[in-house]
Amino acid sequence: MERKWNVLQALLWIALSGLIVDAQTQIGQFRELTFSIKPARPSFVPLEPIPLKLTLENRTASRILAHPGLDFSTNYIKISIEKPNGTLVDIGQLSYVGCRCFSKNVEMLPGAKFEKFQVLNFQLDRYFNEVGQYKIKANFMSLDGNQTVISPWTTFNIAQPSGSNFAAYDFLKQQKNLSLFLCCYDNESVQDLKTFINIFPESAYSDYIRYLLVSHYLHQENDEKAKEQLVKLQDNKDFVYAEDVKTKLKQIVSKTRKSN
Amino acid sequence: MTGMSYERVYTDDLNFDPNPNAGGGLRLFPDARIPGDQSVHRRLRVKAQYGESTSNNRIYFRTIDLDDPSANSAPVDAEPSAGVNTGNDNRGNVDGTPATKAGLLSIPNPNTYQCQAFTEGAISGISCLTDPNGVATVDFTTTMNPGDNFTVAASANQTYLANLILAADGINLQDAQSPPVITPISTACSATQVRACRTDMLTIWRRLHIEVDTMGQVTTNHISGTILDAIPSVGTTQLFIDSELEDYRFEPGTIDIVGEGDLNVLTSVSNTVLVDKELVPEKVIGSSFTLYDDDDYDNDDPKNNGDENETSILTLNALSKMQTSDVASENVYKQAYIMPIYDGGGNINNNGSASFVLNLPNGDVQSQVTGAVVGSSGNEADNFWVAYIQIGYQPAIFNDKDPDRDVGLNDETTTGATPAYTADTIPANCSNMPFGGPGSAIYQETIRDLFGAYGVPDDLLTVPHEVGHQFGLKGDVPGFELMGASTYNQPTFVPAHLHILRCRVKSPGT
Repeated sequence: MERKWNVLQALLWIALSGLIVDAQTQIGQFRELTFSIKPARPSFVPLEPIPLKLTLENRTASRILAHPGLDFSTNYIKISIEKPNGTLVDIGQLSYVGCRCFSKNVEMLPGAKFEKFQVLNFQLDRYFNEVGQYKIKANFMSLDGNQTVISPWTTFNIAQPSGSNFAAYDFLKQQKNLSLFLCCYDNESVQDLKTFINIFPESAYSDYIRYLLVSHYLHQENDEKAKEQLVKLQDNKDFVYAEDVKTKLKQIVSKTRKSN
Repeated sequence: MTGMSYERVYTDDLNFDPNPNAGGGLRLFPDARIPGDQSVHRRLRVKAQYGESTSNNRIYFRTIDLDDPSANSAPVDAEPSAGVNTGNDNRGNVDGTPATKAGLLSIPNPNTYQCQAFTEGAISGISCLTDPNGVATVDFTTTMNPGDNFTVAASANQTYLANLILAADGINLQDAQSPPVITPISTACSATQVRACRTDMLTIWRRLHIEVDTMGQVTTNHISGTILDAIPSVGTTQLFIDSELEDYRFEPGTIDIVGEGDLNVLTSVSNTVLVDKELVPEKVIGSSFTLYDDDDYDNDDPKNNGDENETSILTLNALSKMQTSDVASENVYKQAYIMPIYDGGGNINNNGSASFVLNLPNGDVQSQVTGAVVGSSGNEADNFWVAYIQIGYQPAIFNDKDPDRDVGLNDETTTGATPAYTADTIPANCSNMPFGGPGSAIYQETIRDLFGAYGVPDDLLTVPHEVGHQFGLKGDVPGFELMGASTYNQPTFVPAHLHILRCRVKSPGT
């Protein structure tokens, strides 16, 4: 009986200790979080979309409330660049599509991390139109707008295109709405996207254009055409949208199987 | 002088009506009434009645850009110092030069009454002889920018007219005497012998012609398939199905199993569904099912059916804060001197149905709100503003608040989306005007889900917010009221956004 009580006492002590430790974990400030951005590769060609890995980490010993709105369409993120000629520029708009979006704070425990890829693909002709080394950093605002975390500067290169990239780049420069061509499609630009893929099936831009065509075909409910492009995309494991390619292909295959 | 008035030039011009915003006076819509209308509705006649009803008396006219009575600080109305109300703050002009910010007087055609230009010091104007009734008439062309305001003053004494200045309140005129004599307005000029008279303050308003399409019949808002396995527990059964589901999407929902009827769904993950009844596996394995979530955007379904009996998505109250109204609570654009007009963007028949999309990702919005579906797209012009709204259902699956519970990194909720070039600030001279966007998608079911989750009614701000993006307004973070990132924000535009709205010349998105 006494031994049983000792065990119970020990268990009670462990439980209480856990509660005390938990109560002692302070609530920290959003500004204490660590924010970083990292380009997916060290080098791109002009007008090539630039995938950035955005990471928000709690490296403190406190619990911190933060929202996971690491999304260019919500405007909580601001990006600054230093162009090869030394000019400092704040990118005014990161996404062509704005939204009325509502995020929510969640509790980041010590060690927790939010990580998301976002792609710079809007107005590339305006901000990344020079060849050379770029420096880039980002601000991320708290949900209430009162605090900000800032990433350190990081660098990447825009290199002169060559080979098939050179001809593809030349084609892109002729496009009417160049700022939008690699981010968004509409009924007018779709034909140009198809022409591009026919002429330049293997270029630095091609997978992004294929991905736009996938969206177009799915929107048109043309699973067959969408699948054609998805199959070509699935081999590129480094493609920033690789997971989505996999999911969409799975969904189309599953739909086809059920209807058969 | 005993009176002054405005007169319309074209027979299809509307009558002047009172300006419901600060400063009062009269309102003018100078824009085209219908698409392609070539009449210059911003050209008016100004008539001045001389005290003696005799002809051949020369009357001098000048225009004044009155102070903006709606604000006293930049960027809406910068003043040189606090408490000082100066004019010359209109954003528009008539001929591309700042000299015509106060509008432009011109000689009527034919020039029956020998009108001619005059200049005295820095002031210029037009003078005309009176007709046999003692009335002198001059033409006046306004600017087009919403919120611009003017008055036209007249006198038989050129020097007296040229020396009139703004009174301390910025919207009255006074002469150089001590004490100064305030220039009376319109018919009040007949009460006393006055040396000058002026028109009512005239303020420019713009119409926004709106095409509203709605998505058609709700389809494919269910999953059908076959039950592969069933594991009962006390009061519940876990069903394994032949479909991959978005985690938790179908809670709370309904599964209709052939031979079992409707069962409540407690949760759904991957390819499993948990129902609130203990089933006999042998009776359900191999059975067909149809699975519905709790979507019911207009709260009219007696049982869960994913809205699939709805023939089209209704606007419900979505447009309630953007009505054709002079009441601020009914038209949030009143503060920007903009009046929504629901005429299909120029033809009521333009309003129609768009293709139904259960979940519309951001990447598809541009395609969804442009092209053949927009009947009004050919009507847009600088003098005919058009906005496009498509009442839809849900955004991308990660942003549709379906399931209701938060599920981590991708649980932002989107109630509307607009592809647009936007900005939060532009210079005082209206340069770098953001292009804006072609149209907006509004997500009725997600609006219901979001506000329903908080147990409060829809704040009705999604449509005016998204139309704000069409006008080139950015916001989408705290501190931008109507264009901000919270529900139940103040239904007002911040001054920087009001400045952008009032700088606009071109139709939104053009």
